[in-house]
Amino acid sequence: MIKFVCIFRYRSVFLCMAVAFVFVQLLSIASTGCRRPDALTSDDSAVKSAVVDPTKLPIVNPSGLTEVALADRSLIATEDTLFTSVKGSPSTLNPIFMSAVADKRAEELLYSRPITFDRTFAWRPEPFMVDYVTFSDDHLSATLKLKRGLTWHDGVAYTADDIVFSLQQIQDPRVPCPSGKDSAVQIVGCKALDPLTVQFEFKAPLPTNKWNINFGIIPKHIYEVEKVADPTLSSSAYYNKVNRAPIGNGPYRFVSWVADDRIVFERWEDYPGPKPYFKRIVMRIVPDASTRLLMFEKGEIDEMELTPEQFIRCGTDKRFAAVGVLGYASKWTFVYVGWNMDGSNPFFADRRVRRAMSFAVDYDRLIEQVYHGLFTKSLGLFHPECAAHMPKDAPYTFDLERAGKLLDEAGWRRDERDGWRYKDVVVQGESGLSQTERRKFSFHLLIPQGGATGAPTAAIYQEDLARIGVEMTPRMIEWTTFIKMINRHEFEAQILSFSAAIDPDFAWNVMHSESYDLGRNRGKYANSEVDRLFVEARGEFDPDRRMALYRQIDKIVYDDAPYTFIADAPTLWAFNRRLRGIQFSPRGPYLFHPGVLDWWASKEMDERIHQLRDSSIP
Amino acid sequence: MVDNSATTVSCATTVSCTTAIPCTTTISYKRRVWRRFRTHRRGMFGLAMIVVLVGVAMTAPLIAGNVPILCHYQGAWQAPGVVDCLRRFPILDRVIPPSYPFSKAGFDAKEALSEDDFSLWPPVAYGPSETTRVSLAGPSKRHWLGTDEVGRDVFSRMVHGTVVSVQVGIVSMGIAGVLGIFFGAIAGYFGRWVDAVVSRVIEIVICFPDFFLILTVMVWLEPNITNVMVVIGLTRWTGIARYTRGEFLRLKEMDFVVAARANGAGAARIVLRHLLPNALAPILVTISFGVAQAILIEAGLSWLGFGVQPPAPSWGNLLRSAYDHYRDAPHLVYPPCIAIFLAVLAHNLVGDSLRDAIDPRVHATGKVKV
Repeated sequence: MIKFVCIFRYRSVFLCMAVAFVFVQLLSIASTGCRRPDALTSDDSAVKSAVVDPTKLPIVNPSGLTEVALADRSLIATEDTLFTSVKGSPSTLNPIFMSAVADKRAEELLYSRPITFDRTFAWRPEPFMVDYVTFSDDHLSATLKLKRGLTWHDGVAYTADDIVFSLQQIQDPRVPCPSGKDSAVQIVGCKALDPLTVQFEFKAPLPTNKWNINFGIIPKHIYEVEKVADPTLSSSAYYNKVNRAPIGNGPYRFVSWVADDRIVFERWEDYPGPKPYFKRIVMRIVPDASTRLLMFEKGEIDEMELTPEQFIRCGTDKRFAAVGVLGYASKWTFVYVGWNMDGSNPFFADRRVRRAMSFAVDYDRLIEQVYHGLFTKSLGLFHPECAAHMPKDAPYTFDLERAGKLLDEAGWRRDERDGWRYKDVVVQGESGLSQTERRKFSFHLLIPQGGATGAPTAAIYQEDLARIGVEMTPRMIEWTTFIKMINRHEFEAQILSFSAAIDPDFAWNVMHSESYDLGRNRGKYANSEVDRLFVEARGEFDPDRRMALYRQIDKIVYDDAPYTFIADAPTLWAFNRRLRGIQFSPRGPYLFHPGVLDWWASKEMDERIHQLRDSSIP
Repeated sequence: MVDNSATTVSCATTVSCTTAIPCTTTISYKRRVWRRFRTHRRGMFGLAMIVVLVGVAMTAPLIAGNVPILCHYQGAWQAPGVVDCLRRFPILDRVIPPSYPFSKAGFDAKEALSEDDFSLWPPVAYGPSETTRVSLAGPSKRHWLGTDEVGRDVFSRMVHGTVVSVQVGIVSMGIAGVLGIFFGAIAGYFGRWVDAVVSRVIEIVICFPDFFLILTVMVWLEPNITNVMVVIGLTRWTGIARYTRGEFLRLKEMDFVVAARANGAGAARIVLRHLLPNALAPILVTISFGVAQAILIEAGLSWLGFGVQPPAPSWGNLLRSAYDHYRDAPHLVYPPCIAIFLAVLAHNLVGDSLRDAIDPRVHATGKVKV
């Protein structure tokens, strides 16, 4: 048997391998000449093409893109269809359950809320829906008066009862709404004084109460039907149906939903507000970025978000330029590495270690090589354009020496033999007695799958960390599992991007110590000074003094480094050439008012594009 | 004349023969198979490919790596590349100490060695995870197959990815082989209810679509190469078990088994000494095809992100990252595709030729002799 398996004993095979090996070694002698190969020097950087300034490209933000709609509606293509794209399928079309971006993109078409905000995030009541909103002098109550004659898509009147009913559902603990609960707890009383008037009473006088009364509103006559049988509003067959084919009150009606392919909306001709220009909106669900770009270039979709790499390539690509233009604007989104400080690992509870980690990021190289010069270095929780941002006099820079010193101070000493860092840490033994154990500085960095920049960022960071004796192992995890794991605090470090919300108060949810269990303070950051400032800011009505408090928070958080802030991501978007009237908010071209409702295409432009599309779509 | 293998192959010793291949001396069955195998040109090509693959996998740090093979550093001769290469084998890593300071974390040999020191480097002097500032560059003298999105040398990643593929092929089929032969042997030899139970188990396992079963299991397990190998091994043993069972059913009625039993040999002796050696050839054919499948499955899993974790290189990972950049750097797509294709092809060719070689009715040309 052994003899049979050993076909390798035949001399010819051995000879072949020996010859091949000698050949390889001769090659290596020939290629390097027994000398050190040139360490990476200047000629390498010469190969690298200069980083393009995105705003200088001719097809970026052309003047036509933002052009306001023509006064003469007859010149506008009002019978046309807009094809939009989202990365993932919405999970529901019920506004009180919505949390993902795709959900919210559907919501802004299907529903109009009495309270909205514009591209500068300024709060305002919707003029055609609301007569007035008044707040009492003690800031403990508010009254909202609706306009007469509002209806839902099915013709049933839209009244104060719907608002009261919706808030009751959000507050009902049996109803699983992931994003609305924390603001709804601030409202302790809500009653309909008459069919058009609602009165809210608040738990505390907060400047954010004006945002707390902005929540998703569902039609009572649809949702009260089976409330007794299914109090969750989400498990029975009836609710599954109405959550996927909803009755709204927005500018578009729901038409159809083909799972994982498209959702079709049609303009509601009885809409009381300003009518949108496109007759239909088809939201295509395309998870893969490369496929999305191919569809865009074929004219099958009219807009898409781009990865930094795609943006750079499209900027100089003739094929792309024949179909589309690029949108570039700053956005309040930052990429960060979040550290787990809850004591489950011996590393990151120490502020010095976290600061060392922040000094080990090669910011300039990441921005140049991974983000293609489109991102900017992130300088904290609040975007530099936000009033809550505090300019930093000593921002983190790539300084491995300083990082190494901080780690030494923290007790993580470098082993001379293998080069990694070790420390004696106290651990609970099996018998319950604490004992010291020599731990290596080695951790996993969780990366959500599907992002274009997570893995390359980690690859560069991993190499730099190894230089200071810290072993980091990237671990790619499927998106839903990733979110579950970080919400359960089962991580040592994770890389993610975060989009700031309208009001700086959003930071309570990620940085206040109470938010460890209730919010998204996943790494258990706890600083009593920050907690105190958050509480103080919530009670402060003077906008300037309030922002000054947030600026202090910004400074402390940045220095404590619960996150290592890597880069601020801009809006990188592609639009079909025919589209006009596009505005950008700090959230991108969507998710503010009027946003997509102001987009339009001229008839003349439209016909040309139509021919192109008809030939490519069966 | 048609050779009756049952009479000429009584056990694993040499017997005289009158076979289709003319010969004057006594030669063993194995030697005869090898001779016939050698006449298959495609089979020999496949075998050569496998030898190259295994050779590349075993000597990966000598072909591409960021430490020198041999150098004169601080007054002493060192061979960090060779040490690295040897330390990749299971027992040697405990015997041979790592070469200090080249094994130190963050030690950069290219900076540490001066221009004047003698140092023999691998032909491609870049490690598989070593990043450079040259992203998505095309093939050049320095980077034979170009670089990926963070400037890692693709050739180096291909070479080190070979290790993964070879490991997955060998280890997973080793697991599958042990399981398959064990269950097939007991089912075929003991028959009756043992056969019934094992056969039903095999049928149940076959019912699951392989790849999706593996995918489902990989969602629960931490994705790393060990788990990939174990999972592939645990799901792909059924083919081997069925072949073994069939061979055993056939062979156990043969005269040489009856003779062994008459001589008082126990079940273990009959199975291990007499049946298994004679049943091994068709099993090797299945294993050979299985290795090809395993390589393909690993590449598929890595492509989907459930296999070997980036930045560790594997052909599937390389293909995935090439796919993300195929518009900018189409040259990245070819190497992993060609490598996977050739590796799978090689194992299939070997399996195919081996099947012909052990079948006495088949000519070297693959046609059945009348």
